[in-house]
Amino acid sequence: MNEKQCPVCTVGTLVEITSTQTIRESYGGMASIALKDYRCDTCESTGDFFDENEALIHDHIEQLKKKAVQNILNDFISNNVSMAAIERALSLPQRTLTKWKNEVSNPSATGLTLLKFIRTFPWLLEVADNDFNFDTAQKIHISNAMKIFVESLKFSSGNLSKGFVTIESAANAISYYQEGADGFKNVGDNEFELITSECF
Amino acid sequence: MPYYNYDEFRKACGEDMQNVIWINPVPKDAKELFNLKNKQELLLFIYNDGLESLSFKNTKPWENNPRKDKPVFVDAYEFRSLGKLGYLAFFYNEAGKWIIKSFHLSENRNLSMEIAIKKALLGITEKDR
Repeated sequence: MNEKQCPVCTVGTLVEITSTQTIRESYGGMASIALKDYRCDTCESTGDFFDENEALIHDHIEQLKKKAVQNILNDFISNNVSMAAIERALSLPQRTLTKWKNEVSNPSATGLTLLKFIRTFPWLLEVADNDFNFDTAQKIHISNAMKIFVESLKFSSGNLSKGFVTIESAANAISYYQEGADGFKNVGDNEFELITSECF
Repeated sequence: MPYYNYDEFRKACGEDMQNVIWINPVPKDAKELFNLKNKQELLLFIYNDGLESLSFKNTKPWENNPRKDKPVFVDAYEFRSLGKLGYLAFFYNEAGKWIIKSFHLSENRNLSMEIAIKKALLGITEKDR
């Protein structure tokens, strides 16, 4: 018999159990891993008491991170944003992204987080390309936010080029941002007519 | 008054990891609620003073202790990390192991604190102009 004593209560005997853990990595997908856990027959604690799953979990996380790098870079390439352009905007050494994509080298945790940021908010590349000028960055940010905001609204005509915003909060928000600007015409209390989408 | 010396626990998390055990559901909660994906990440987070505004909450007997003649006490703390208010509970056992029993979001979720943190983050943008 090779019975293990519970390291939690120091009294009970451990029983091996299996569990499945799902690991998710943003932009990398997910993986299900079969893990070996223990359960104490006395205090009923369960867990990986001897760190036997750590290496397995670590390996799967690393695999998903590599997949995330591939997926993010492929997304940019398929949208006609070249890796050379990204490297230039972010002041990365040329061919850094190619090396990451071809797994010649792997990005650090910081590098991967940077990729996730630009994938989540691609307009950050435009911010970087404008040397992080604060005013320009704010304009890019607001412009993109407004574009998403307007696209999320339901327009009465179903046509983005001519529609009516009748929700009070939406009208206030548009008023706040676009007061007097081209593209919107104030047509009454809390009502704005969107006369063009080209301003975005 | 805490039953254990928190600093001893914190030091063990960084310098004596083998003697710190996390029991279920701590791994799942740490991963899903705090993005700490394995034991090492959690322990190093604690060791490196990741638990901000740490405040002692209470000490209670460990309810699953099979040895009623030898009580084991569990210390519980609340902490903050960015906009999240967390809850940590741990104890030390006869075998010289620190057991992390709970690591999750606190039930006393402080909305005004979350708003203050969000304001502070926005403030960074303004200050750095």
